[in-house]
Amino acid sequence: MLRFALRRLLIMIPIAVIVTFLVYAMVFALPGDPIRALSGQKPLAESVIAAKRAYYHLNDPLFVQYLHFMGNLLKGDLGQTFDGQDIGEQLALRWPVTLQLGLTALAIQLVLGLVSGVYAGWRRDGLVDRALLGATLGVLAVPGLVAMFFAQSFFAVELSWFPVSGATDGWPGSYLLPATVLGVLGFAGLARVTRTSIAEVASADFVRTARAKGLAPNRILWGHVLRNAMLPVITYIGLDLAGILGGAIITEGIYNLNGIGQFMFRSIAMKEGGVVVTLSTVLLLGYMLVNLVVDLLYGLLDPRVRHV
Amino acid sequence: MSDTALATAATAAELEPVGEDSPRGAAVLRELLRKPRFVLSALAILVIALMAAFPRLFTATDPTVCDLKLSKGAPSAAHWFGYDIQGCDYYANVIYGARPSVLVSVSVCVVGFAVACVLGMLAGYFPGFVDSLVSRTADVLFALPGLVAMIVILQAFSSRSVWTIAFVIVLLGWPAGMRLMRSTVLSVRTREYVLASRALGAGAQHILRVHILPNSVAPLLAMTTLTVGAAVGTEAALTFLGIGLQPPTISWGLQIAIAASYRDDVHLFLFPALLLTITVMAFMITGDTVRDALDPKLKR
Amino acid sequence: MARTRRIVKAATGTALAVLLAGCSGAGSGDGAGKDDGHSMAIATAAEVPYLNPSNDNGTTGIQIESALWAPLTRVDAKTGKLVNVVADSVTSKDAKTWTIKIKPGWKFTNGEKLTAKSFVDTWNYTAYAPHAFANNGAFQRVEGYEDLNPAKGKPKATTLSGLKVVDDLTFTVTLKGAFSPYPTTLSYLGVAALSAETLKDPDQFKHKPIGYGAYKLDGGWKAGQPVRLMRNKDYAGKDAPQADHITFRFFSNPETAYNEFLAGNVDYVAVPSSKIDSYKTDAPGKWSQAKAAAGINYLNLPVTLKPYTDTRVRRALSLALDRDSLAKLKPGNFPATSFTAPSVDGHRENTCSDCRLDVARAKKLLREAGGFPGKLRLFFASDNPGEQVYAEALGNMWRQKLGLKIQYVGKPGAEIGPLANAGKLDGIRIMGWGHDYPALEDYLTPMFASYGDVNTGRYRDAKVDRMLGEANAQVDQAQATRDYQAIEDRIAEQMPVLPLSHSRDVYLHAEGVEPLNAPFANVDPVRSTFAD
Repeated sequence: MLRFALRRLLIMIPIAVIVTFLVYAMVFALPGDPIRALSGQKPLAESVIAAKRAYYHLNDPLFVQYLHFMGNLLKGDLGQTFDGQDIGEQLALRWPVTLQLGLTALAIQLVLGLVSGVYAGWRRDGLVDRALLGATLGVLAVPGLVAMFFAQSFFAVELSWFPVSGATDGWPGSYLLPATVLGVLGFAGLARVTRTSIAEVASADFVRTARAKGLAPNRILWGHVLRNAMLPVITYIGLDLAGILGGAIITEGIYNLNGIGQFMFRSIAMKEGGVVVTLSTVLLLGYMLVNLVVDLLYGLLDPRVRHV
Repeated sequence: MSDTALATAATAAELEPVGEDSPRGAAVLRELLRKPRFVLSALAILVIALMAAFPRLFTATDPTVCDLKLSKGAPSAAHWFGYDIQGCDYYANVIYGARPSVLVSVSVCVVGFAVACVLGMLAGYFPGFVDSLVSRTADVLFALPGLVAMIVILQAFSSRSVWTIAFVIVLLGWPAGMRLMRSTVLSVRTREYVLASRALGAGAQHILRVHILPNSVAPLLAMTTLTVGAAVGTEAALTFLGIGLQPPTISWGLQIAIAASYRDDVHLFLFPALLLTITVMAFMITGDTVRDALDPKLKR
Repeated sequence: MARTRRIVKAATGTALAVLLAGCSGAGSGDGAGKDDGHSMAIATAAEVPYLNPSNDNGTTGIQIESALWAPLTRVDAKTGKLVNVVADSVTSKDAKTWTIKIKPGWKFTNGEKLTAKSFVDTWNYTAYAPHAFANNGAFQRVEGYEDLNPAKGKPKATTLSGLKVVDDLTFTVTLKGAFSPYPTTLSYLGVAALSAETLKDPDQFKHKPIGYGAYKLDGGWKAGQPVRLMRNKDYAGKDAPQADHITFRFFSNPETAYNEFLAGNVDYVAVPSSKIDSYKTDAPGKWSQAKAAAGINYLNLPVTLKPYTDTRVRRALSLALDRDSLAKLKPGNFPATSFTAPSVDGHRENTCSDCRLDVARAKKLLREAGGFPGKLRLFFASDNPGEQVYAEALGNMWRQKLGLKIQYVGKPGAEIGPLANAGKLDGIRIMGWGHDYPALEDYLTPMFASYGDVNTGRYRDAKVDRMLGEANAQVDQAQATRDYQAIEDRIAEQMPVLPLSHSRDVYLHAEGVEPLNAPFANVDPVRSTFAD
């Protein structure tokens, strides 16, 4: 087990290096000229464009640019964006916002998804199951943008239960509304997977045997079914955790939270290779760690899954 | 744990191969047709498929006849869905919008499901090199910023169609499904009936097809039916990145995306969203009922 | 070649700087904190990374910087005539060598005196290519610019030979050629002065602006956070606005700001496109429309490519457009009938005789020209839903009224700009232009001169170039205006672009706060008046 974990941690290093180059090359291949796009459609003097291109090494071939970036990265210098912001400082300011938003949303999503999924799967065609089907369809029918704006105008503007936007109230006040919307929009997938997995296990013969033996239904659910149904569920949660940033992009924009999502989006539009690579690499490491934890959990939850 | 003991008891029954031949297939179909839920959702799929294939069956109006003066006109007896922003008949446009949306979402679902299913089985059943290769590739793909990857890849195509878009969505989307499939395979592969079958000399291919697949596919299937809707959303998002379908193509994704910016006119958003929801619902319920009917363990 | 310009994107809301002003407890002391007086929050659409007028050509940044600095001259909002602010006089005998005297008594917030040398040093610093300042191009008319900005190689000089300090408060500017609108160009904030302390190391002062405007920074500031300003007690100008405290807040989504207004946290907001049908009911009695339309939306044609080389084709395309219906797609838009903006001195309506709907005539012209072979390619910024809607509306009109085949080419906005600058657009592009300084010349030169910044259709008319040169050299302002108008008349005969509409922002404002809204200035929330 320890050797397994160690090996997985070690392999993260070469993969991360490959990904930094891959992402850097991809951003390089994006269309558009970041310097010309710097002020929207406002043209800069040609001499200024030339000076900026030289400063950011934009005239160099891809590989040279990449080495410049990696060299500075190893020195701990993340550099500047094309419009002159310090990348390290921005990341430090922005990570907490996205983490608070994402983790709050994830918590809400977990509670909603697990509770409704477990009961819907355990009592199929029961009330919870039907309600879940309805809620799933509702969530799928409404585009995120529409739901977010609706929640903002209704709960924040009409009812004044929450601040309309911004992070000035701190956690939880400023994050509750956006995180709830994000959590509700995302819970359907987790609920459906949980429901299916529970239903699958609930119809297995050992459960029927247990029932025949007269075990209390609750004991069967919590003692046997849940544990056996958890593998796909924790996998899905792992995927969700990694997907926090994706969900944050629109939410941060609408709720005016200065987080990583907005920064990433703008950086992609501006071809900020440095920012995109840094964020992608952090995400990759996070994702691989989460996956490793999930894989280790498999072994704990189900002793038959052994790691070689 | 007592689970293990209980599971052992079940092993003998489950050693029988399942879901093989036509007599059973016919029986399954007969059973399905008795369920009103299945009949309704299958009918809905049929109607949507007809709409995608032959939009003229549903409307005689040309969706490209537009008068900007009628922009955003409300629904009326003559124009059930009202007019869109361009002043075109919205009913005709929503009908004609079915084809690209259905093609993208169904092909993403089917191909995505197949890829995730096969790779997930391989990764879950063959630990070590195969698992590492598949899983680490998935890690890399998953960590790529999707936006960037999609732009870069789609740029490489000189002309973009439903198929190139579906291809890119599958290419970048399979890791999630693969992880899910792998997790269930991991727990099934050490079940007693698998071990027993292996002990009896069955080949890996046989075991995967007969034992592993039917017993581990359910969560992936549940996740896949949900992606019918998500694919339409992605299709629309790509359009606004300048790398998706473009006008004069008509699609639900485009309609919903445009309507999201003009939320004052509810009908613009309501009708395509309604049809999309019906489509998703139809696939979800059909998927559920078919799975139940095929599942050997549910036979009481 | 490029001079710094403000280009307004056509027909859409998102790219326009949406200015939203808020009032956190206007005047009456509720929530205004310890200070008495008027305090308000102005929210803007885009974040600014730093505050430095010499290195900023973004609408948002300039808006904030105009509170921290002051321009040399200003166009009076009510009359449209040029008045002096920091400048005492701007004079010339030949429109080539200009003498600028500044008023005495102005001080930077760090105590430095504002002198002629401040301006000359700042301008030299900005014009020096290796410094890569955004407003470098504002000095391209000054003699010696090429020495600091060579096409290739290292600059030959570090100072502009055309700039001379005469005394503490006087300096002269020698231009490369006569240019009569020069005093008007000095109203651009990009030619304000930086303190000597800042010029030593501008990077140190990115977030600590040292200006001489009506306001100064209140406390510290980091990029991404709101900018808080307080009244600068040492302000030497006579035109200080009423507000004592101003906070600029950043909203990346204009609808979020709109909702903040409805919640009562913000009391000035521009109406986003998506609210075109509901703002009147959302805020009854609280909406107004800008009086000034400081820009023009138009279609750029690739006039060097067939069939656009034929004037009849260009006129036919114009005559097939229903501009009234098109204008209704955006709040506050109204159809254009000429090539300049209504808010500049000398503007005339109806100079474009083909800017009306006449399908019969359009068909006739197109027939005479031999029809439109192949597909008409229509470029639009795909990342902007408003522009996509607009493009489809245009395409539908040409398709249905003239029977043309349309090919829509949606590309991300960041990709279209460079393509256009490189002259690689082989189709029609939706564009907008808003002046840097309110002058007819600032429409005619950039759009129609062969060297024009936004003349991406490559329209070339030697006579237009010559007439521009003559009008620029005309010292008599009234005659110069007539000369510019004659150029517009010549352009109207050729239709190298198709004017579409002018935009006037529609905005909401709370009771008690009245933003400056006059025919010759965009709505300016900084210069709000308060009811009590």
